Amino acid sequence: MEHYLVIYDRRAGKIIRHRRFRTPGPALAARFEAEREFREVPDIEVVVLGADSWDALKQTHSRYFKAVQELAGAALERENRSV
Amino acid sequence: MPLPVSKSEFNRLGDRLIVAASPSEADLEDLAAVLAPYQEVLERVKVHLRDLGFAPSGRVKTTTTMTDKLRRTRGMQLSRMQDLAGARFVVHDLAAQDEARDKISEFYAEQDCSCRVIDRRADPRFGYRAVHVVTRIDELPVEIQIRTELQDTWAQIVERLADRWGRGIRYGQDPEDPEGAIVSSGGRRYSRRDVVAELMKLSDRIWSVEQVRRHLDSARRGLNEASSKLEMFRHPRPDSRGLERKIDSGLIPVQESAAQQLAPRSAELDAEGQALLNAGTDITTRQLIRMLDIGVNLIARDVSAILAGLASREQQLRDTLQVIAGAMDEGA
Repeated sequence: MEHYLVIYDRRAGKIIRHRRFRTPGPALAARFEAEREFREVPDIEVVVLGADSWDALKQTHSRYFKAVQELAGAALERENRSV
Repeated sequence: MPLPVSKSEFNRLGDRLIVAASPSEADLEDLAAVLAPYQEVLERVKVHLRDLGFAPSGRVKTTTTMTDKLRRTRGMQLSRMQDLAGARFVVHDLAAQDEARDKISEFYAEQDCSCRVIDRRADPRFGYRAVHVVTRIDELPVEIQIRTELQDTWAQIVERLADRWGRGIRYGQDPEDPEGAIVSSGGRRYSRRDVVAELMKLSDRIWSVEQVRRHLDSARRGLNEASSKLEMFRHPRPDSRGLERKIDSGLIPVQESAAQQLAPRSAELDAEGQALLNAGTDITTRQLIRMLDIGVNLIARDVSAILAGLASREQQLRDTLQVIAGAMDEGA
């Protein structure tokens, strides 16, 4: 299981930085370091996400990676295929 | 790893986070220390979920969402927050969601860990539908979110929109600038408020389609079982003398099960079906085959009706997805 520090700009809808950690402890420490760095920037979200891989994260936390149009479009495509 | 502070100290930290514009250096340090045990139990739960065959991801709640929740929920204490540690995985449909819920509940029951299921499918929270299982490891709660693909798509869309239009839309509030930013889709103009209303509609439509699909799967399984039973009687085909013989004790359970299936639907049966049902076990093998045949036809009719209803619901779902996909402004 990998641990990813993700620094995400909510308004822009973009990941501005990310870093992979092998163990959760250093990832959590890096999270708080980043929180200090962005303390005065309310639109920045700092989170550590644990998953098997970066690709697995894209499945379970797709909002960090895809715009609404893409999320709805992908679901629509799946639905169209199932008809 | 026990909590490094007492519950009241933990709650006081929450009180300070509520009032501060941004957390102080000392509070960030305390929070890091307090969240470490949550991270540890979360890791254990993720291992459990992987061992059970799921592909979870997980996170310890961010400081912002934690503070927002404390501010939003009157009387909420930090130590009582159930989702400080959260794992999530996505399954295909409602049946898989039920199966996952049961598997996880049984697993934690066997481990003597407390386990509470929160089913938000029929009773959604501002459109949010999912099944949550909250277990406690070393007295710390970990929330496991089980979502179907469609439920997850809905939740991700709302989260993404909430980032730009204000997190209040996740709790039934108007988006920021509800009328001002008009976006258009397929020639029709939508305000942000309209799009949020479409999202609520989407949640209902997802639930409706998923339920009908589950119903359809169950009816199809019933049809397959009934058809196989019927085929067993037809191949090898009994000789005509055998067919005209009254059923014996070996076939009585088959007759009973066919009668059980037909009885609640006697109003839909024609005269022949009614007569067969009323004859009880006093029937020939040929008549028993006919009973099974009538049962199979009834289920096949159900499947067709469900399919017809599903098609229109699926179309509505696609229409709403189309509106959402087409009605977004740049970057959302």
